Amino acid sequence: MSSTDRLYCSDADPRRALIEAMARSCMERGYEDTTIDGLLAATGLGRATFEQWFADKEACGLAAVDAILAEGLAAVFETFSGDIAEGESVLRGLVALVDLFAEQPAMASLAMIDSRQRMPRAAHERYASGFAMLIAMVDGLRTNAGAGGEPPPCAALAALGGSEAIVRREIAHGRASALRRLLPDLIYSALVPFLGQREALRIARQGQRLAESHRFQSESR
Amino acid sequence: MGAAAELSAELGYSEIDEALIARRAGLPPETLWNHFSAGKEECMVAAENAILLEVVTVVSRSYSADRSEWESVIYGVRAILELMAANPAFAYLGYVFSRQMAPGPVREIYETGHRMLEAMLQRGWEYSSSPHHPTVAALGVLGGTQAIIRRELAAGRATELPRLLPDFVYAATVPFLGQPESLRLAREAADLVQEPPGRLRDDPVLE
Repeated sequence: MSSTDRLYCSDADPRRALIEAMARSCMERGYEDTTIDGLLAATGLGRATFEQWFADKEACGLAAVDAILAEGLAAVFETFSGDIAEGESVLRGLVALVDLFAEQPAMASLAMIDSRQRMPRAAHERYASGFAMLIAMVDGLRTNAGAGGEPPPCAALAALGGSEAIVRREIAHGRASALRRLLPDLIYSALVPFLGQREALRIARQGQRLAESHRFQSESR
Repeated sequence: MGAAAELSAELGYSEIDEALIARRAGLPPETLWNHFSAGKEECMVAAENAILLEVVTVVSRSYSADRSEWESVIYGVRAILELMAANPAFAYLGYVFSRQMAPGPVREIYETGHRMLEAMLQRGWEYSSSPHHPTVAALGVLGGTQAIIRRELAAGRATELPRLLPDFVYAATVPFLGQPESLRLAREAADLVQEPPGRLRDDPVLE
């Protein structure tokens, strides 16, 4: 079994197993065509176990969205530190997110695509809350912008919205595991509104080296 | 088409039917069926085509030999924002509905338009001072500007979109030109916001 098909042991953590089954089902057949019976078949769990954790399909779907958003935000928050420059923090945050999405492509698809397009409105609202937190973090870069002056108020939304569009396209095409190769482009696009071309390019090159070292490690295994 | 777009924005596509669309348009249902024999989906496809045609038309008119490439971008963005402000329901159709909940044919039209705009933006590298040309920059610019539009639409501020022209211009040009030049263009755009709206259409489709 590949890492992308990672299955939680249903007996050890039935809630997580159901959540992951929900994500895989959404990716394979869509939220509308996902059924509780299908989740039970995929996990080998009984209906009573499902009902112990979730009231219905929607509750399971929302729990899955909550889970991946919490993991994503935690991964990003861990990388932000007062000891390093904000641009470096963005680099580390993007690396953490890209790695998380590569490791869990079905959960990534649930967060980035299903929650916004196919699931109940509450899922979209959760996604929007998480996105707003990231915007607030990146917006701090505006006050430390380069010599040219402070970027306009919507710069953080535009930068993150752009990165999001790039990531979404890769995930939609089943290329979550290859997102690392786009790290330099993602970093440049996210940072150039705040740090200028020279500094954004310097950090993008760090991303390039990270992406290459990751590829080397993958090929060595 | 206008009624279908309005109702989709208000109630959601799955909640509307042909009778409701006809009633909102003030027309007998048979008139709708005469024009759209396949019903509401065909009507929405036609509406999506209309908004795409409008966007391409106003952007094309903004390109002029008398302007620099980037000045043309400013006027093109301004024209799109004015178009959306004048037609909030179509803005919703073009930027929210078509990518989130639309049936396949509507989404395909949206994606076609997206690719066209992406290709136009990609030309920005020909006029760029950047030593680094990310292959996905145009997609990033489009995604970023669309995020701003969606936020404003969700907040019911479609008519305020033209006031954000400087933000859009900065977001659209900074990957290609860098901060100082993009800030200069954003200041030019801020001056343009004070001017009366441009004449967008000689032969409006979205009436």
